Amino acid sequence: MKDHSFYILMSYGVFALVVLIELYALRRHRRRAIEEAKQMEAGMHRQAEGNSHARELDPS
Amino acid sequence: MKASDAVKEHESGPLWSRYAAPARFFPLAGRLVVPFYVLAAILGAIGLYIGFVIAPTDWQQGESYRIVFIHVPAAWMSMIIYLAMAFWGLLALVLNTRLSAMMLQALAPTGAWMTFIALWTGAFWGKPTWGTYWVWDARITSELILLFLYFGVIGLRASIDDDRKADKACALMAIVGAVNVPIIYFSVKWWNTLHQGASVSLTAAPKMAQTMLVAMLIMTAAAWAYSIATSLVRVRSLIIQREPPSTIADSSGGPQPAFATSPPGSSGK
Amino acid sequence: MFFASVQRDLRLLLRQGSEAWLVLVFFLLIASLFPLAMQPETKTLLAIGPGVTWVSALLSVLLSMPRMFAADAQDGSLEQMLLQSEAWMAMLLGKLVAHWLASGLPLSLVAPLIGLQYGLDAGAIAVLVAGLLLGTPMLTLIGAIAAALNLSARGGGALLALLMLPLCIPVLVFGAGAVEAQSAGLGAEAHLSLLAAGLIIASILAPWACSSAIKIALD
Repeated sequence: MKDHSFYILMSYGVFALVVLIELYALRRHRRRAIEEAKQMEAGMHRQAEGNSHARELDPS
Repeated sequence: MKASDAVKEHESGPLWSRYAAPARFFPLAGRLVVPFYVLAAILGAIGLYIGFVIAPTDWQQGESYRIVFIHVPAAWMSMIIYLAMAFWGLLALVLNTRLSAMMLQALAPTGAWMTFIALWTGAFWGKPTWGTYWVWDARITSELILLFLYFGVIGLRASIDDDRKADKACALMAIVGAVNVPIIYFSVKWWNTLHQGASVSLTAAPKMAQTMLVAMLIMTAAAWAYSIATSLVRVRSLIIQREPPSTIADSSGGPQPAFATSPPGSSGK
Repeated sequence: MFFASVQRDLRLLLRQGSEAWLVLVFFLLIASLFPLAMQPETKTLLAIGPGVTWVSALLSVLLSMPRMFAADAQDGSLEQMLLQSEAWMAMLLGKLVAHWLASGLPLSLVAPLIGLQYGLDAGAIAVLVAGLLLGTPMLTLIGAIAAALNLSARGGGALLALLMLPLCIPVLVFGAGAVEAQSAGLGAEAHLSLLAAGLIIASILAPWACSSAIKIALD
């Protein structure tokens, strides 16, 4: 029986690689999203004085 | 509308409408992520064990047939995810909900990866079995076209700056694509049967041993759980990007650290 | 309503008159490239002729797609048309018909030239033209959806191609397949009827999808 380990390795290896890439991209996406949101929130709090829009979001 | 009002509005009513607000869905999704990943890992381990250890060696194809345990689940998922995308697209257009559109956006990359894996593993299964890396058979060709359809939705999303506009455009594209998938598959099948010639049809597979089928089904379930978990993580990131920060709060200790500072007006409990 | 649509057809047709030439020239040019890129053996040419003609037609229609809505969207006349809600559909249909009259129809009528270049016999050419007459309207219809979606997007025609071409594959398969079936002696009725059926369905569904896409873009 011919040795097919190369093909099996290429298949499952690339599959594992894809999973890792996707999980890594997921992490990067989440980090970037949190960063962006924090900056947005910081910006809004800075404008809290005399800015009705920010007052609307910050009901305190 | 104040953020707390937006959240309160959804506190009564049927279950689905309660979680239709992205801010409410956020903690729910967070609680589901780890369980689904764990499920995927366990099912995957069982499936691969049965597939590699228990299932017998195919007398015709040797060991390489075992690639089918990743190839077929990936192919099935690629189609299921596209249908799911179209479903969310329909909801997004009909109900005009943000969350449906975000689910669509979250599913697309995973679906595209599944399609890629199906094509790649198909090639490496084809080489030892039929001698070539690529076969213009109906199903593989349809998978390739499906990949282009995924790229279309993803590309469209990337080219539109306005979030709501992109939501609706991608929803429409996903629906149009989904309607076309059966037609495309039918036409490719027609084209393929006419040009059969000497090549072997991938669909004329020998009857599968019981254990092989079980392993394949378990792997499909694993792929399903993985896709759900991944889409939920992605949709959470999208919610963080798109929704006002003070409306979002992790009500319970999710697997990820609770998001940002604890905002004054939220009532996620 | 119908007369309004027809009048609009003619008006748009005159506007797009010069562009129709470009589409035709492009069509013939592409089809001529293939033999230049390989050994022009009679047998090979005969085999690839229908496919080459159809792909060239597809690319030619693709080329003419961006112009369909872009100009009107830019100068605001598309929005004007949208605001006149009762006449909107008639106007959209008029636009679609005008586009086909200026692209698909000339292509279909010129296709025999390519058929001769590739050595197809009279019967094959007849089926080729019939298929194109049935198929090119579908290309216009499908392309219109893609062009409308593309209005929302920035960037050039690559996205338009990516959106449009996969959806056009069935038309390609059955159109080229019809000629091959005819050449093989099997008769092209099945293919042509499928194209006809597709055209009817596309005529109903596509304008609706196209209209939705335009509304999304102009929102």
